[in-house]
Amino acid sequence: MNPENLKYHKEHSWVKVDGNRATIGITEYAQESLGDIVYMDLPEADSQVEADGEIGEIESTKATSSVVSPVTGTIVKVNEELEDAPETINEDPYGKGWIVVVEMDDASELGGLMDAEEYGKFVEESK
Amino acid sequence: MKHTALYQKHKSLGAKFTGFHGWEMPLEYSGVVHEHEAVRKAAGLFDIGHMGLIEVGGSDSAAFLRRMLTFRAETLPVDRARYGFLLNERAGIIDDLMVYRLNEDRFLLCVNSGNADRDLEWLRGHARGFEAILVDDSPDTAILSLQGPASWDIAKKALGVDPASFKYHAFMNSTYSGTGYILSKTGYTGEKGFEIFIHNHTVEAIWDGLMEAGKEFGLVPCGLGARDTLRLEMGYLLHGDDADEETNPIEAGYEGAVDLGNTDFIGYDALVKARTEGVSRRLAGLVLKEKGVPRHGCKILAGGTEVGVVTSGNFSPMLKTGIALGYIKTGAPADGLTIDIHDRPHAAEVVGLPFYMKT
Repeated sequence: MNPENLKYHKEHSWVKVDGNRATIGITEYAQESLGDIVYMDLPEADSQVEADGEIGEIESTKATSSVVSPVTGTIVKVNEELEDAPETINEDPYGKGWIVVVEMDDASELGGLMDAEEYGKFVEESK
Repeated sequence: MKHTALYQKHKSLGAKFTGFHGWEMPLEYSGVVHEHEAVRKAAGLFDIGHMGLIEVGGSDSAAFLRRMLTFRAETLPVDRARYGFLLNERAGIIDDLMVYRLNEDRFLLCVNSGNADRDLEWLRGHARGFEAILVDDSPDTAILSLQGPASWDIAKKALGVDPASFKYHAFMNSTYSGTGYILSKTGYTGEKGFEIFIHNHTVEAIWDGLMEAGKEFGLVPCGLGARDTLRLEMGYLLHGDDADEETNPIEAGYEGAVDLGNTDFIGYDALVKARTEGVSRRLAGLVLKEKGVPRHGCKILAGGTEVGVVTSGNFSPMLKTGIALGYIKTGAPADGLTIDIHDRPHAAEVVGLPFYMKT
């Protein structure tokens, strides 16, 4: 269920790499755990993010949760559709529910992330 | 973790669970927003067996409760329920509760789960000199809450009772599969509905009966998540968050729920003093004027100066905006209010409660 072509962070975010650009979102497990997402506090485009640092806050009817960036770089695109339709993250976390695109400073950081199989095991173990 | 008699039922329904004052309870089944909307438009069924139940019996039970509760227990008619407070000497709210008069000498107190032990201890500590017997009914009594505009039709079909035959905040006794139960027109959602008190051994049967009868009316099982967003839209207090032993009913906006015709209750003098002298803060309803979700602990500011704190906040599924209950200092300006969420001010305004009213 977790796409094979993505890399995963232990804080339940994913990254899809295209050249030096990384699209980031949260995983199926994360959206399922959060429940109904009612608001996404998005970052500004052109802002900097650090690997393991916060990209923004997701509000669900249950709680607030941070989205953690798997990589360091500059945010070049923000999914503004989420402003009015944050539930898109619930509905399609690996597709239309993407959150930001980051221009990476150091692609070698990707080496520290999990692949789909490792992440699947990680989720099972943390349950 | 403690479990209600319906724990296995919830598991089989695929509920997600949450810890709540030592109980492992369903948080949601199909999603908080979906369950919330079902209660507003159709009906929802909640297991609220975690609530505490204390039975007060004996020839002095009414006199004892007159001393302990913020109304005249002796004037509560049999088969009627009333909302009240247990106060300490400083008029601080030990708990808020519903009181059911079962007969002349027997009352049932439905209390918050997290306070049940404290309440029982407080009541027992003041029972000396009264012919009053206190019994903890929680261990073998289950409680369901059927809420929503379709709840009357569902109760009629599943239970064979006529909901029109008794009033709001009244209750009736009936039997289901040979087991006696109480059907009470009470709730915590602002919708028409019932609460059902029944022995643990029959609760699964009545749950199944209600769910089956409710299918055609859109009945869904609901968890504590929707219970919280529903009560918040109505501005109802959640004790522990919106009120505690340091808060009096005037500060909490519930002066009207206190019957000062009873001058005998513990906390009366302190409450009258607070009324005469005025209070330094009051609970208010706040609506965000921009996107965001306020939470317990967020600061409330007026023109940048801190004037209060949010005690409950969430997203309102009906209003589609962030709403909050919070205490604001008396005399603070009503304009230019903001709530700090993730260290950023969000414009907010004070509104009358409830937040949501049926049109």
